[in-house]
Amino acid sequence: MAIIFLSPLAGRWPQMFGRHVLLAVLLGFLLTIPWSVLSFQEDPCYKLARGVKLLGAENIFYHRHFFISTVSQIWIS
Amino acid sequence: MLRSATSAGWRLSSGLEENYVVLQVSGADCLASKILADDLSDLLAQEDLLSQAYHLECYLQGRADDLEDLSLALVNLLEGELFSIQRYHESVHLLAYVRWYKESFLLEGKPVNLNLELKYDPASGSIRLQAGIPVLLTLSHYEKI
Repeated sequence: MAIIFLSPLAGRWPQMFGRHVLLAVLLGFLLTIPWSVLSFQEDPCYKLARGVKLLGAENIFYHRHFFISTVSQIWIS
Repeated sequence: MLRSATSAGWRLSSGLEENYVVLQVSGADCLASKILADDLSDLLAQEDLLSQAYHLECYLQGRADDLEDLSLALVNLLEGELFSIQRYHESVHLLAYVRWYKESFLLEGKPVNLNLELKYDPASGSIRLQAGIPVLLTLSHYEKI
């Protein structure tokens, strides 16, 4: 700690560190959040909902069905 | 670990045949049901996942006379291509094809993957709409189990 505080960067390292953290968070946001938003917008239920909402739909309820083979063993934990 | 267990639910039902079962994820929150469905499908071996179907039900304001117009309007909003429409006294059944969903089945050589059913409910004075991609499942079978 003493070395950090005595170095020429002593007054600047919090800003530099903060800048890197901010950059990392921003990059993380750009890489992950838009991807999840995009994938959600491709969701068939979302697309159906967007259509029926334009018609004034109320009380929308969603069902997603997965047809699972019973030939091999299924594990749900 | 399941990320969303509160605003969506799931259940496992037997299929119409013995070689498959149906995992149904339901909820009023579209995103929560998707997250839960994604989490559950991650637990399954991909080779066991035979197919998926998406189903939405809701209520619309309108009368029995509006059924056909509403169903055709929805097909247009979904950028679908109409395959067939059947009109009954207080219901309309419609088949169409939407290009944005990859799976479809062939009817008379043409692809179909959007199934709509609109039914007027005189008691509530509203229209019950059910939409299914690529098929509209008859839920009554699973509700009995």
